[in-house]
Amino acid sequence: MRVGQAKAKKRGRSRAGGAISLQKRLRVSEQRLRLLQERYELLMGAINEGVYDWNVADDTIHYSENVQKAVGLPPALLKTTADWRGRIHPDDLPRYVAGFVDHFKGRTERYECDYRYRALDGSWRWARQHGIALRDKTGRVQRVIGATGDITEFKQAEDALRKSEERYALATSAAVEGIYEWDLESGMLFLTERAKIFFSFPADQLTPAAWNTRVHAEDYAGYRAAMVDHFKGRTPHLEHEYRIADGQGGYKWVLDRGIGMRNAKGRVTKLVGALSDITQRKRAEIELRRARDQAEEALEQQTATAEILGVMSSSPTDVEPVFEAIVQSGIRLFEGAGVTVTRPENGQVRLMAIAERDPERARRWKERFPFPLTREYMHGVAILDCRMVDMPDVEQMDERFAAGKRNFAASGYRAMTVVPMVKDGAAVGTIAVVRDAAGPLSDRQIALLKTFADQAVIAIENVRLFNETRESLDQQKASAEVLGAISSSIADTAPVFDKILESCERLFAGRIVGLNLVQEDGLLHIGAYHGAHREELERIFPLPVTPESGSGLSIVEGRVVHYPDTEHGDGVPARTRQGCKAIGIKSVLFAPMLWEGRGTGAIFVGRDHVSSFSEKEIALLRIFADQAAIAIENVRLFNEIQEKGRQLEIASRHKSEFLANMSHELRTPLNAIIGFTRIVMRRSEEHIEPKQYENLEKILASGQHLLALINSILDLAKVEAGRVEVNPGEIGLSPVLESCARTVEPLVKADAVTLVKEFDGALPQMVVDEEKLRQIVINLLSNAAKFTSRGSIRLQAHASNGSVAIAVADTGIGIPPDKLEVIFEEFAQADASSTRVYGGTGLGLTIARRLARLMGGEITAESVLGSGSTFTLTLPLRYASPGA
Amino acid sequence: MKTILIVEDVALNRELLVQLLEDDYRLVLAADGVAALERAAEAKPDLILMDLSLPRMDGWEATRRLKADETLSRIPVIVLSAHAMRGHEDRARASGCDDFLTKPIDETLLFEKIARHLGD
Repeated sequence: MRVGQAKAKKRGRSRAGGAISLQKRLRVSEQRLRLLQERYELLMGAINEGVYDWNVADDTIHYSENVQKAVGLPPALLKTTADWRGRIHPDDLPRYVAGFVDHFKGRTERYECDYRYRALDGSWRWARQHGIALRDKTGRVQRVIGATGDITEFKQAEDALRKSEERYALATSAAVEGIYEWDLESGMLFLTERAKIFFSFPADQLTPAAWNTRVHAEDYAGYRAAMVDHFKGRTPHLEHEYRIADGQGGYKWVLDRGIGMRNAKGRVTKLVGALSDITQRKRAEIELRRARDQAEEALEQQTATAEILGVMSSSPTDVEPVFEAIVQSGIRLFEGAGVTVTRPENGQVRLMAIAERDPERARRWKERFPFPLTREYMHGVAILDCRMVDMPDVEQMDERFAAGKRNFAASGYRAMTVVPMVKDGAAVGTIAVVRDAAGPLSDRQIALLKTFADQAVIAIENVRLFNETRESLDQQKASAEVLGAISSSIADTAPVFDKILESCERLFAGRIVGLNLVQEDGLLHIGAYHGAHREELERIFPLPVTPESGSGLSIVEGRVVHYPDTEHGDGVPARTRQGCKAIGIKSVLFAPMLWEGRGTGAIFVGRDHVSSFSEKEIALLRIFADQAAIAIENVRLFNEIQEKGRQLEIASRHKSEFLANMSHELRTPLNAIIGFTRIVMRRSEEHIEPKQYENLEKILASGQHLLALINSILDLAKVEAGRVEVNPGEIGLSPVLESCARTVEPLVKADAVTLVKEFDGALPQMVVDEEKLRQIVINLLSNAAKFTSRGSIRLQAHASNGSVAIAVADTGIGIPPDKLEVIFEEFAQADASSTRVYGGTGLGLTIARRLARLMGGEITAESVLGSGSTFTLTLPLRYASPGA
Repeated sequence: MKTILIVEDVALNRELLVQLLEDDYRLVLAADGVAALERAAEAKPDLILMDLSLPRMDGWEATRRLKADETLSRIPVIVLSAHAMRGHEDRARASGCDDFLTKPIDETLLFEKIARHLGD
């Protein structure tokens, strides 16, 4: 209805526009014009609009204004018939042309044709064109006037209708086509008329035998069996599907449902049944089965690729099982075929895996490998050009594959497809399928082959990554082990060298590894060696450190020296060539052991075959060489320190012994000097001149000073030798300080200096070595007394935060700032001359500070030159031995 | 007058002690450890001043033997030593001496110690 309404609507509108344009253009007779108008109306009633006027003589076409709207094409594109023809579907073009020919020859009253044309957007649309030829007096066609319009919607509707009719026809076709009755006794077969028509059964052939001959040969046995089963009573009725000739050269599938009429004996006398045409259903079933087979095939392929993935994941270290899985899957999926995986290696194509059902053929096929990697072979092209090479029939094989063809001939295959395994744009191998039968692989099989190739690439990559990771892990581990050996054997290089050589043997697959060292004689000696024929090597050593040997050269030039071929390679030093030959080595790598630019040796790895060491291996050997150099340096330093330590210990012992002896030896005469002086002074005071008595006093004072010096030196020696023990005990600080003050009081110049005690609150109990505390405090107080001629000496103390600070502040001569630390050094009073003026050994403060430190404390000094000094002793309130 | 045995190998030091003590005590002298034991047994002194570094038998050993001898063990022994090291005094006390003085001798201290041990 919709189409009809649209037509009615358009008709009125276009008729007006179309007529005006026609009248303007046509110069024809009244009669012709009338005829034309009549025809025109006819035309307009039939189709959408768009009128044309084709001048046949000069092949120009004029259009009505609305033609563009009618067919969606601008008139500019449709100036000649050639323009039109160019747009018509090739399938429809003959009809289009034939229609005109018929009309021009007067065989048709008017031209009429439905055809497909290409719209502006490139799609195919349906057009319906009408036309009427205008002729001259002789009957020749001068022009054609007509209309054209788009009928795509109509065609679609028509199409839909036809399809629904077809569906309807289908639905009815499955119904019972006929009934038969077969009288077994008379041998007559009766068919309904409809069945006869359907099966094109001529009436005179209505015998069971004729029917039987029509049954498809493949189905006959089944049909007979079903029949026999039913006749023998094994089935309640006959129900069987089979093909039967349709009498027109084809077959139809029928469903035969029948039931036997039995006599008293149970024999079937008559079979009555219905025949249904189930051809459609069967076709659908077959189609379904084919689809299912395809699905199954796809599933099988998926299973195969999944299996390969499984193998890949379970063998990350080895590509072999993956290749094996690929060829095994391949042979299962490609019928009548052999499958191979190959890889390029040293300019050859090497067979990695093969699957072929016939072992004899497998053997012959294997014998073809390896062959050269050239474009004379299909494998070569696949690998070198990185593309698939498909050879559906060896008979057609190109001469450029001459070599490949020979292989083919030898193996007896007819077709081969080689797919490259591509990694980063380069082929790392191939997967090939060889076949007995000529013919190409299906797209799906090729896709599967490519999937296998991708999987193989992934497997190869996996293994490479795995090995690389394991390798670098091994190297790190080895390097760490060597470092471990270095740190645990600083006294001996042997364990480090052993560990390095052991690691080298493992990581380089080196047949020999060794370490040559520059010894004290300046020559290279064998430091360590793992490998055979050591005695041969020893014959060559020692060597000078010169470029005449690999070790020497690497040390002299401070670089790695690499000889991939020691026998034939260029620039191999004579010594190295000779040495390698002696121990059966064909390739060798030397790395220098350098310490602060000085070569201490070289490490080397050798193999019994010609081969280049990789960048990674070179870097690794360099690391080992560095580690060896560190080990040597460590041991050297360690021995040096050990030796120095030993010497120091001996010196210290000597010093202590010397001091002890000296002390004893000096005291003995001093004992006599002091003792006798005292006796003389006591007994002769009244008998000798006062001046001489003073001299005796000076002797006594000097003797006593000397004694003090000896005692101090002895004390200091004891502290330095660590022979002074701290004997802590609990004491009251106040009484000890009071007692120290009392001891020093006689030294204080009583008339000008006051000794003041300033203790903050009640001082706590203290755990300390009382004797040493006294020694320190008395030393500080007596120093103050010594250097203070007027003013005060204040003994201050206060405890806080677990420590106590005891200060002695005087108003003495003071100490210059730059001497504040120096005064704690041995024999260093602030002024070197002050000893003579102020007395003292010059060791008191040194000893006091050492004792303070020994007890976990410290003595510090502050001073203003000329106005006084303050020495502060800080000590922990409770002494804790350093070991505690 | 009480008797003091002076054991000292260095003549000068022996002489010094003699001069210090001869006015107040009867003195018996010995120059080594062996002689010291003999003099002590003969003279039965009231007190012994014992040097440590002695020829033939050192002061520690002599003191140990004196103290081991029942007839002599009650005689006070004052050790005089130039060895100021702590170990010397400890070893001396361990050998059984009654008192210890370091050289050079502080005569006041010497007189005090002698008087104390003699119960004067």
